[in-house]
Parts: sequence; structure tokens; C-alpha cells
Amino acid sequence: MFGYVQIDKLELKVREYMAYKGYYCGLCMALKKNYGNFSRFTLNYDMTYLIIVLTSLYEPINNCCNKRCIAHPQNKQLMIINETSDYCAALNIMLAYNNLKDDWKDERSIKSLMAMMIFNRGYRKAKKKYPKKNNIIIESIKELEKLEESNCSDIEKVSNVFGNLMGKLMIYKDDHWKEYLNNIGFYLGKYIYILDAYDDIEKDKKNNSYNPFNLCKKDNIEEYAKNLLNLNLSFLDNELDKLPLIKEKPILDNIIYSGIKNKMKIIFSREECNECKIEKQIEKN
Amino acid sequence: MRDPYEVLEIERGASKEEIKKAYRELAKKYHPDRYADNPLNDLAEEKFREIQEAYESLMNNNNYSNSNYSSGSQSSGYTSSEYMNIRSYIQVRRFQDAMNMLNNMSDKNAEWYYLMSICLVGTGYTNQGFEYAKTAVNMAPNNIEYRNHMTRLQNVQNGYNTRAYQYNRGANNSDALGCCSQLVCADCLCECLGGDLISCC
Repeated sequence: MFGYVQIDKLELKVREYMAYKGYYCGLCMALKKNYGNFSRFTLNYDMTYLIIVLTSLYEPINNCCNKRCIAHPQNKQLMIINETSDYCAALNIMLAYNNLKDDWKDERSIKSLMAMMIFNRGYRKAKKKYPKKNNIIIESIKELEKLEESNCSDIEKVSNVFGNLMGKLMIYKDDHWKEYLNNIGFYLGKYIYILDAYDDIEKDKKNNSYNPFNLCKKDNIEEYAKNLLNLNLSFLDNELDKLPLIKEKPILDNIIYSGIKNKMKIIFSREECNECKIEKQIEKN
Repeated sequence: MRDPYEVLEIERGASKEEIKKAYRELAKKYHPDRYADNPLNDLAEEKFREIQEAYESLMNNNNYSNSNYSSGSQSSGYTSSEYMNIRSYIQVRRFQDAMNMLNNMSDKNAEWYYLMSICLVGTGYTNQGFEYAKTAVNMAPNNIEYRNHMTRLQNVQNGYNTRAYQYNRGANNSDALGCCSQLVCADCLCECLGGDLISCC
């Protein structure tokens, strides 16, 4: 369930876009450096958002460099790495590994098992560094599983579990801001879970797998989902507004006010994103 | 506590952005890490705490914040001792305990729905909390406390929509009021020169 927290590229200034890419590539590099080359397959945009929020709040020293990488051999890429990218890289690998473990247990999919073996070394390293966070992930996945088994039809209840997980992962230091960051992670996690569940309605119906939207007795699911998402985003925005975020604020605003809105529009109308539309138009001309 | 505006060295009525900027600069200046092996350590720490408190009080001023719910003393008048207990739980943010007590009650009046709504919002059941707030207001339309709660929730909700709308129209700097006043000015200028831009005024 990744990739629901993205930028709206067309609304960003070039330098903001470069910075965003820099954090994204920086996370990729941090994954490679700490947990090996294969761990880079778990790279995603949601974690990049986490990095930018934490960077904006704590303003750690950024190490910038221009490097080539396997994915972009033609041009050198700007990479921004700081201490929060290392933290988020560890979270990323722990989330990915535990997710695969869950898949293997549920579906006995060989693919997951293979991937698990590849990530094993990196995971052990990350686990050693952040044992508490790893326990939180394991416990939350267990709790989600329990709710899934009991066919829980209350999407708020299920998404709260995921929200709590994200909230706790968002806490970077034991300091004054931990309550604020917890709330931000909570509403962000809820948003991700709900949108992911809505996105999967058709697929889950076909495969006969668990989806709270397919179980809940609401007349208009679309309206209900929209309402839920809007409310959660409002609370997220309200919590974000309490933090003194100055650095990279335009990127954060872009994600919350435009990127997320676009993502929702695409999923609800099942239409293409603005970017693809424009690219197509350029091709036509 | 000292006047938060004074602590942050800003003028009264400063915007949120200004408050945030001022906080950032002062926090950097007095961050305890900078005075680790310094005799001024204690002083800096105290100053740092003061800045943090000032920032918090200004940011929570006109915001929806779960922590500033009024206690039973100001409420509707027919608050029973049981409701008083629940309210005191809510005040210290022990929402689960408050909810357990509420669930054990058989009589569900407007106050029940109001208190349940606070607990639900506090524990993340935002949508359900909203529904309960509506019910409470419908049951007792004249109660100011319930209404305020509802308005606070609505403000949070509309805040996001408005800001997202503004962002996507690039209206970060100008607003509707500015646009109108510019039009009026242009109209005045035109009239001075003998013409008329807006014929009705």
C-alpha cells in the first residue's frame, strides 16, 4: 500500500522539484549504503514524505552530492542525505520485510519467501538498530490480521491500527514534538489505509479477499470513502499546521494540497493524472 | 507566564508564518545542544523552554485542540455526577476510560452524544465522532457547548478544503478581498478622470 503520498510535479518550482528528487534519491542511496543493493527495490514516495517532514522540523545537516546510479546511468543525480534518511531507510526495510513475512504466512507465495531471503541481512541489521520500532510493526501487523480474520466491517477501526503504527514510526526523537509527530503519522496512516482499501475494492471482490469497504453496509460507498478521507486529511492538515515548518514548506504544501488531491481524483474517477494527460498531448503534437 | 509575543520578539497580531519563523530563529539560538559544555547551559535551557511554551500557546490559541475542553462546571446545568467523572477523564485525555463509562450508561441524552463525540474524535474515529456531534446538536439545538464543538470540527474540515482549493488556483498571495478593493480603486480612478469602470457604483 505505497505511493499514495506524492507530489504534484506540475505545480512545483524547478528548484523545489530538484530538492524533492534529491531526498528521494538520497533515501535510495541510504538504503543501498546501509542495507545492500537489493533493499533499493523497496524505495517509495511515502517514506520520502516522512524524510521531508522530519528534515523540515529538525533541520539536520544535509549532505548533498551529484552521483550516477544504476537507475539513471546517463545523468548524474542530486542526492540529499541526512540523519533522517538513514532512519527512514531502516523503517522502510523493516516494513517491507514484515509485510513479505505476512504474505508468506497468508498465501504461501514463493515470491515473497524469495524476496524475504534477499532482504534478510538488511532486515536483521535494521532490527538491531531499532528493535522497538520493529516490535511496533510486528504487533500492528498482528492486530490487523486479527481484525481481518474477524471480518471487521468498521473501516475506521481497521485504519486506526495502521494509523497508530505510522504515528509511532513518525516519532523520531523522544522530545517535545513527539506528540505532534504521532498525530501527523496517525492521520496520514489512516488516509493511506482508507485510500488503499478503496482502490482495491474491485480486485478484492474478484479474489474474495478481505476489504472493509466490501463488508460495510453503506448505500453509497464512494460518498462514504470521500467523506472519510476528507475528514482525515483535514485533521492531518490541522496537525501539520501546528509545527514550525519553514524549510521545504513549499514541497510539503504541494504534497498535502495538490499531490494528494490528484491521487484521490485519479482513484475516484479512475482517470489519468494531469501529468500523463499533458505528456500525451505533447506526443500528439 | 510572560507575554508570548514578547518572548518570541514579535508584534501582536503577527501571522502564523511570522510566529513560526520567529520561533525557529530563537530556538536555534538557544538550543541546549549549543551550550552543552557552557556555564550558560541552565539559562539557555530555561529560555528554550520559555520559547517553546510561548510558541505553543500562540499556535493553540485559535486552533482546534483536543486538550482545551471545558470541564463540567461551565456546562449545561443538568450534568450528573457520572457525567462529571467522564468529563474529568476526558480532560486528562483518558478517552478509553471515558468511553467505557459511557458505554455502560443506558440513558443516551444529548450530553451523552456530545461526550462520546469528543472521545471518538480523540481516539481517531473522526467520522463517527462527527455523526455523534451532529446528533448532540440536533437533540439540544440551544446548547452552546455542543454547538461550539460542532463548529470547531467543521472549521477543521473546511480549513483543508479551502487551503487545497487556494493552493491549486495559485491564490497564495492574493485573496478575494484584495481583488475587490483593487477593482474599487480602479473604479474611483476612472471616475476621477470622467469615465466609469463599474457603472453601478
